[in-house]
Amino acid sequence: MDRSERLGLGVSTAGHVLLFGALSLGLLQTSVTLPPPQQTIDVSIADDVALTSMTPNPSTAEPEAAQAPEIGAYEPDAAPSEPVEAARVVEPEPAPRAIEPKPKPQPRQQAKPTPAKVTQPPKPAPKPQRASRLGNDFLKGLDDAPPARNPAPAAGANAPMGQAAVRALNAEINRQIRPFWRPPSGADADRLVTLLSVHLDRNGGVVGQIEVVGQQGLTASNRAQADLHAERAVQAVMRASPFRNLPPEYYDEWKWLQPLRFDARLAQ
Amino acid sequence: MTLPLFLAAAVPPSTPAAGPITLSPVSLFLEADIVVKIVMIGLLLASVWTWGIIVSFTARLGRARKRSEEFERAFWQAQDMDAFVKDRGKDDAPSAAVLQAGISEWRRSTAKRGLSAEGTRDRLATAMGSAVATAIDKISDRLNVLATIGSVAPFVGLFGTVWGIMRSFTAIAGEQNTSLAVVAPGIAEALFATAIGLFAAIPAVIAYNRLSHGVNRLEARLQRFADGLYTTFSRELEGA
Repeated sequence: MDRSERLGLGVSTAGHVLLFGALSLGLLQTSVTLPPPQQTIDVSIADDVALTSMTPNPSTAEPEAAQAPEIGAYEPDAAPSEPVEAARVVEPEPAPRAIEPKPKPQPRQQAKPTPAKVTQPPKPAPKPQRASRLGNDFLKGLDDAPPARNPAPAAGANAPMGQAAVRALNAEINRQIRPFWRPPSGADADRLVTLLSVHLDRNGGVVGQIEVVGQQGLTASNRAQADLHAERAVQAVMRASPFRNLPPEYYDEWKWLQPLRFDARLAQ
Repeated sequence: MTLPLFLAAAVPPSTPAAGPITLSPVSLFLEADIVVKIVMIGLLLASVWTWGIIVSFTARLGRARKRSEEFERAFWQAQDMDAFVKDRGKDDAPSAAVLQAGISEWRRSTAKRGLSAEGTRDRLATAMGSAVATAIDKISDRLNVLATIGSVAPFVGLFGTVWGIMRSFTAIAGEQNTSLAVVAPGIAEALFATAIGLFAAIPAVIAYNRLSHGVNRLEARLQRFADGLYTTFSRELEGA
């Protein structure tokens, strides 16, 4: 290696050091600047349409064939007395009115007073029944004569709140969890569903252990993701807590979020 | 490697990324696998060597060409060949070596009586031809290194890339997460190896072609000078 080669090596080493130094110091650095995050507005979609559509209380009973009343002479006295009797049995004390001052009663207790009320001295019918040529069994197929006033017997534990309130509560909890919910990705991972059981205190904080109650949608290809899915679900609850803006008067409803459902749809 | 991955996993999607994503060579190098690191270091050294050879070779070739040109012009203008040889025969121009070889063979052949002119012409041609070959050999010494780096460096870089990508796929399998944040850093590091390979190979190939062309031209020039000398000696033999 003669003098000219040493010189050449020196020049090239210096050149490389300069080039990589410039690259490292950021003179030629490629920097990807992310656009500033837009001001986000939380939109809570109060879905008046339930996730699965169903009639309030579908009746499976075959409606009785309507019988035309016998056409007879018009009897003004007999007609009013019978509808009053029928109304007394069918129409309970409308539930919402009973709850508004006192949200305590549980659904099972709720069920009992209804028959009890039948034995109470009947209130006078709210409206005088109009005499009609139609038979008494005219509305028999609809076994809940005033369905709008009798809130959701199908909703089970949430019945005292009313379906709209339950949906609003669920939407609120989901809205608070959603930013923290990152389901794992992978084959069939969007089919996984993790169900958690979470106890909350009155401030919305998590009490005790968050339990994984169950998982659904397991297939052979997403089995590897299942544990991670459950773990991320628990993490999401931990990060989202304490939950805010939950109505304190309905504490009984949200103190134990029993099947808290985590699926791919929640992440969207 | 593990730390940025962990951070990427820990940052919830709603928060913006901590800063601009940098692709500085040093960070890419430091985060790479050991095999990829070795490949990168080797390729970097190859690049340094390539440029060292390019610089020194260009200087040496240019100097040789300029001196030969100047020497030949002076030789053909000289009136007294013996005085010129005594004066400048030890120059380090390649032409001087050719002249030296021709003159010494001429002196050896003409010192003895009874050697045929034919044989002397053959010996002169052979001696000057080998002097040209020696000079060219000495100059084109490092060209083979350039050829080797130019053809091999891309493959070495590719090896580093394949290795790095294999490793990041292993990381994906371990993480059980296919999000781009897991895959991207490893692949960027791996591709950096190919980038360095090309960075070393492209100048090497260009320089090899250019410098070997320069060497060929120098060889042709020396050959022409040797032919001129040969005709001169041949004339002298006829005249003697």
